[in-house]
Amino acid sequence: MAFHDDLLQQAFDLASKNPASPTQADLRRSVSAAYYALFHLLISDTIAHWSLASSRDALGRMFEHSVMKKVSGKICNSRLFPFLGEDPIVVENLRAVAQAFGQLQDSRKTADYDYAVVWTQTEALREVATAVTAFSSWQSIRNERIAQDYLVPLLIKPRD
Amino acid sequence: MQLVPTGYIDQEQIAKAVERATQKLGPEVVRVRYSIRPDTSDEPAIYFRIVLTEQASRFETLGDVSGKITRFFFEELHSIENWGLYPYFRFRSESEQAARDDPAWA
Repeated sequence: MAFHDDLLQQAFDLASKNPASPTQADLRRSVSAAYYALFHLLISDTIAHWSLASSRDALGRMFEHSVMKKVSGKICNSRLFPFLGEDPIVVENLRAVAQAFGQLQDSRKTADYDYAVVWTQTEALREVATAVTAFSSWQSIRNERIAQDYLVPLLIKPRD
Repeated sequence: MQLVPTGYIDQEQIAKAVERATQKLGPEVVRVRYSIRPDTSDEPAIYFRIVLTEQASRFETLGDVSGKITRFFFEELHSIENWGLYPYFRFRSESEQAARDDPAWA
């Protein structure tokens, strides 16, 4: 399996471990793994377009979490990106991926750094489910032009 | 009217809009609470805390149920476009909330 698929499986395994008494460590690592699964899925699909295979790993190191989140947030704004004339199903799936990315990144930071927040199993499983749905949505649109257009600014910081 | 540091937001208007939207949700939703604050990137955000029934909280149904609720709030409120608030969602089961008795979710 690809790295991002392994991370998604790991996220589910950690969140569903010890249902009677899940540990905060397992739940928090699960949320983190769910985010990184989607993060690496999008990176792998972006760098796959780089024709020189030997440069792809280095290219994969260039992505910035904050840039990716900013771009994803803009995609969710229907005034900035109305996607007029596009297939509404494709647009809905693209926005689902972008929304999931923002949600998962925010949850990942909370899970990794915020001691004040206590996670329940449902909360962690829901983050995993969000990543699972995003994988499925991405699979259905990954060859569409607007999906490919979304990948470009994930790597190249857009001008404000 | 309360203010948040990121700008002028009519919290009364938001409360009414969330209340109207919440009334349209199905029986799988026990209650909805929310707060407005900066997100982990310091951008203005609205955080929804949604308590679900036990049935809806099972992993087999959780993705569908939470996905529909998330989409519904996106489309019903347009919080990004109307208020500049990026929405985030967290879901708990009724029994989890009962065990924790967390006032933010009550």
